[in-house]
Amino acid sequence: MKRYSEIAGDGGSDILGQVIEQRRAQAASLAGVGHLVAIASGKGGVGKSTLTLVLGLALRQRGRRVAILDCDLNGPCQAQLAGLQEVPWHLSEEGLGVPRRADGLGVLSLGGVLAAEQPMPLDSVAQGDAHTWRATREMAMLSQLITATSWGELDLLLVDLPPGSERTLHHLGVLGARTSVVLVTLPSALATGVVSRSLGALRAAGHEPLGYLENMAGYYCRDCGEVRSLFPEAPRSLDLPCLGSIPFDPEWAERGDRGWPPLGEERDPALEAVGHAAEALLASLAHRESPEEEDPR
Amino acid sequence: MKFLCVACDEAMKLQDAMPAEDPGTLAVVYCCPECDRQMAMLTNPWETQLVQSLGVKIGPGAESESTGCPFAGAVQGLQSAETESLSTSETTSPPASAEVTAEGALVWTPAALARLERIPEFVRPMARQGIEHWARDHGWPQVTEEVLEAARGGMGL
Repeated sequence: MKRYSEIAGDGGSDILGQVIEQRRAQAASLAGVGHLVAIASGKGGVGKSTLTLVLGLALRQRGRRVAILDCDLNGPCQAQLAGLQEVPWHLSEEGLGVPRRADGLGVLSLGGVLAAEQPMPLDSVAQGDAHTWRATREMAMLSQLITATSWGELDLLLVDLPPGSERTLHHLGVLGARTSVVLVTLPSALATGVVSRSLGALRAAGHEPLGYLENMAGYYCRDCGEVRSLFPEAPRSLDLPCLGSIPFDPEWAERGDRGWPPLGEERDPALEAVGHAAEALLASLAHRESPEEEDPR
Repeated sequence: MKFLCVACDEAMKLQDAMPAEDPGTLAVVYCCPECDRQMAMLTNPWETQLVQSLGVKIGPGAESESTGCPFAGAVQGLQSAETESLSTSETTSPPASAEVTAEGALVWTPAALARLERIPEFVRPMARQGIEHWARDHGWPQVTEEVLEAARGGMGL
């Protein structure tokens, strides 16, 4: 009896061929992007989205062509953080245009088209048991969105991932092997423990992150101008290069709710720390060799 | 997934795919090119949904189609209402004086609609709503390519 590998194709639909074509089209769409950088964490609530946005602003301030892709289809927030909630998507001749702020930072987020109270609509012929197909569907939707978007020429595309080790791996599978990863953690034993597991999962799957960002590394008091301790004790650090430690600034929450203004000449410890992190990220990317994308056949 | 005719030791070829009578199920028919024996693979709704979730199409000639809904090559019955709605709008010439369709949506010109159809199906209703909202706010009577370009100028911060 013939073996699986002895039969060419699948008899008609060529599903594998269609999947390969999807990947080719996605790679072609991202051809003008210099670096894909996923901002990830196994832990939720560590400030990934805010850091992604402010990092994007800092990179933009340094003259880089930057866009952000909000991969959280269920809780997208980058459009609000960037002040692009009321900006309709640009349907161009070439495809979906990335909405841009006046300072040039591009942000593609479903939060720009979904009302605040509206969940992501997902129709299904299966009645219930969404766990059997939902992750596959979401990853296919993300790939379709990336492929349909006209990204143009970018130095960096920052990819804001939803939390969770497993979801990080799912997203990296969609984004491809050339994607660099930056983990975000907090200086608490709890967060560091969870993010350490994320690091282990990434390494087991063959991904070596560029480094990590330590968010909420102290509290910036605007009254006295000092950075005070926020967590009781310094936990062990991750077994990765630290790209930056960013203190908590309560004003960031208000900026995020209103939509972040362009970065100007203001200098405070939190923004300075993000600026240093942006430079550390650029230096790290300059030394990274892009791996070849795998052939799914 | 591949199917082998055991008697002939020959790979079976896909002949047809169609929605079965049970909701969410498919009948995918294969035939042996040697003995002409046919068999049908019947999927349950979860199997149907899993394949549909990949964004691929099932059916003869599916590999040659470049866009559209999963199963579009053979299974019209599983297409979403949104796809049908868009297809209807596409063939409608925009009345010069009318502002809205019977459903209350702004009329889109065929060229503007063609741009909408270049983005993934799952985001079309949302993108459409946002653009129509912007167009109404800015006094446009219908959605044209000019409106789509003008909306781009309405940048954020």
